Amino acid sequence: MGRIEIQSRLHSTALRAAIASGAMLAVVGSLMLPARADGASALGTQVVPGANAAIKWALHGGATASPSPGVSSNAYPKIPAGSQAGLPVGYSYTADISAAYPLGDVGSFGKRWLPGGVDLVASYGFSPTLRVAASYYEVQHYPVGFDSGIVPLFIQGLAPPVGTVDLSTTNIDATTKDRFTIFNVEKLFRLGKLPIVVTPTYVSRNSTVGKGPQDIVAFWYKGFPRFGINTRTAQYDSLAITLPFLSTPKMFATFTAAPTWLTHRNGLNQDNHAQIYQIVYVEYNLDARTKLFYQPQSSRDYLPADPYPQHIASYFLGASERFGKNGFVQLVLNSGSPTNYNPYRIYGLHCLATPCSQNPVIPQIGGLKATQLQFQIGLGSPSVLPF
Amino acid sequence: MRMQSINSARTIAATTLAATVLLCACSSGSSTSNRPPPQPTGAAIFSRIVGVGDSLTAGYQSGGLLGINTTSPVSGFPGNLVPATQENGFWSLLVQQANGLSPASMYNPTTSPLPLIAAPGLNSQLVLGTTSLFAATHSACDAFNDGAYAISTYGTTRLNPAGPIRDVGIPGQTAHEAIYMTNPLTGPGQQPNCQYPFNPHDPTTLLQPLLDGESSTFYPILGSFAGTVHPLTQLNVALSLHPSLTTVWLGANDLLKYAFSGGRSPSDSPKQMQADIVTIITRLHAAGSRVVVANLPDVLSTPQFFQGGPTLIATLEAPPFSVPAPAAQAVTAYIQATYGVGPNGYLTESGFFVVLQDLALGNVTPTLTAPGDFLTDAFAAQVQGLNTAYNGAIGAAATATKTPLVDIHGLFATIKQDGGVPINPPKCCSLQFGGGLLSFDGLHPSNTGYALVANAFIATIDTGFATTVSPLSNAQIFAIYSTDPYAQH
Repeated sequence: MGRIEIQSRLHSTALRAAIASGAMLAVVGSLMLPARADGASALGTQVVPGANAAIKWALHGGATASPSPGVSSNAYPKIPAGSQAGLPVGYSYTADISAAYPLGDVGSFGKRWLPGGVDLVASYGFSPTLRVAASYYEVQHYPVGFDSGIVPLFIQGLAPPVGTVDLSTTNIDATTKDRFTIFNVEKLFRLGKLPIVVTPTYVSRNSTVGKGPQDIVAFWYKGFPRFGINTRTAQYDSLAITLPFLSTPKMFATFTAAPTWLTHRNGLNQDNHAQIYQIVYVEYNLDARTKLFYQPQSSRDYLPADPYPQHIASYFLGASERFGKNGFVQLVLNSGSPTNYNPYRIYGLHCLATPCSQNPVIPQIGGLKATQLQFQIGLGSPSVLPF
Repeated sequence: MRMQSINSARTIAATTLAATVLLCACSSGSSTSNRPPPQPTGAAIFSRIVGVGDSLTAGYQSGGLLGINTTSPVSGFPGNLVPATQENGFWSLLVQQANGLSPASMYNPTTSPLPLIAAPGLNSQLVLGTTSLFAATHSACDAFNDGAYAISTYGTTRLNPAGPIRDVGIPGQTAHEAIYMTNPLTGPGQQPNCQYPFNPHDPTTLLQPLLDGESSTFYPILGSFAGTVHPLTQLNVALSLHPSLTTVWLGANDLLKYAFSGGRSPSDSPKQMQADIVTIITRLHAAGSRVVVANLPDVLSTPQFFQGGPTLIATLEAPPFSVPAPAAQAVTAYIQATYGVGPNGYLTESGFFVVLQDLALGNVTPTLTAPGDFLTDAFAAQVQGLNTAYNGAIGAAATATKTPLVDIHGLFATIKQDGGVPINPPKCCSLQFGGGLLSFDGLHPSNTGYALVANAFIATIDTGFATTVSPLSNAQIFAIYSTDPYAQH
């Protein structure tokens, strides 16, 4: 080894400044960052709206739940004469496009719209108690803390950091686009006067992170880089049970519990115990065309980059407005972050060899937190999108 | 040891330092199982001895790692010999004693448990020079050394590239790197002086010289496991060998990198050192291995470091340097006034040879470079403090894991206190420069020094595990000394 000439210039501030100047950012800029948590599950997207619709119809068809004459409410849609109260029979559909505006500390990514969401839902009701649906959703989000803050820089194998890096100088693109394909069967039961919807569901998710064609991104885990893992791809089965707990002419509310299993382990998953999603949905109808809604939930996301599931507390607060015969627009504020993965954000960078400007730099990532405003416009019935 | 003129001292000073810094350190790898296999007892303990560590475990000497006796025209040893180093290391001697093997078996590429390095050897081995005190056998960044940095070419550096090795000590590795280092951390330096260009836009370029040691030896030691062990770390490779007994000796490079970088090296804290050693031992235990762990000598007591003040004056005045008293006193006073190297500070071997060369030219105002050439009084105290703290951490790790501790610190302290070991008095042996217990780099033991270290390991193993491995006898040690190129005869 040659003479050691570590000079006083090697201070964190100098390193930060140098990195900020772009020296190593050719490397960091090529990072593909896994967004490690969904703020919500597909259950909130497809299962809950379907179940809610069925319950509304069922309640409306019951002996005591008819809206008062003259009260205009889309909580209790009119049922054609002769129809049996329950799930819609025959074909129905929803199609919309959406865009999202990230809020919170997204650093140099800036406040700009994430375009490109497309949602398609098709369903067929065999009878008032049985319906099947297939749906496809696209959701984009940008996690908080992936492009902001100053984090330590490590060299592979060395314990102490060798400096710090300002993430805002690294041009990290952590834009994540999730694509959900969902198949579910809705079965309406009655316990006395109480309608309950049971929804066996299959969900397949694949994603794109950054500009990459897929979600294979390198990340740091327990001292070593991990490569070749589809960090957000997963398939799981769920059995959702939805029941109402509030029903008035203006308001409607349900609770959904959904044990969910991965169809198979992959990535860092160590086990596959049932994860219980819990979703509360409350809506207030201003009139026949306009409603406000609030959907707090505790969801579980078992990503291939996580050895155990993330417990994600999140909420959706929104308003929707119908126009024309089948049109709608919807604005939703949603936010969520894991309660058991700390810290959320990128909290370290690891350089695999020196000089760091010429070698891979891998991020060390905690949980994902995201807050955003979503806008949808489409035909059919609006649903709450996950982020 | 034969001392020659110091005419080319400045020329070799940098080479010497380069070699010495390469020193030590390494660590082990891991893999665990839920139900660990039972640890062996009795003779079965020695069925598969594995060495986890750094250059001290690898058998590094005099700035190089070499698995075969060879020759070089620059060598002033008889017959232009460039002596092998690995077979003379403590781990080799321990395995020979424990398993009843001959020294020849260690040289045989088909049977040796050592990752035998081909000629001319890794890094830049120092030999006695023909026209100067020391000479480097070859450049540390020649084609042979450059081949060590890539998985595709490392095989050219090995005599037994697919050999069944069990000594996986990696020269230059720190304790943390032994667990987590998965690839060379830098490429080779550039000709003609093996320097790394500094990129002002990337300060991490400054770290390259500091990480070159372990980078140049990583694949030559572990390369043959690249296809089977993931992640490829020293600890994981050691675990993959299913050891019955593992020697763990790490931490020296953390200390030396700190010392030679002026404290700027990203070394383990003592707390991290303890955690790392515990991790290594725990994983080895879980794999069914017995383990012994060794602590560190006081590095400032090695002949790599020349104490300042009155001690420096005495060293300069004494043979073989024989500097006139006025010059010795003047240069010592200048060094203290200019560089802060007083009675408690140190010149490194590199700095000492700079001083000698200037004295030979009549100059008592040498130009020294920091870091690397000297340790001020204050910084030397920090180095000693870290040395002590590391030993505390290693001892605590041994206690926490109920692992026998090989007290190398005590061994060297006793030798220093006694003024040496009477192997062939008055010629040998002591910890002084040229005293015969250390090789030319001033840090790695000579053949004789490694023999004493081997006996310390054997004694600890016998005590800790109720075994009866015979230590090297006085006759054996004398025989080793008799052919030791680094000892005076």
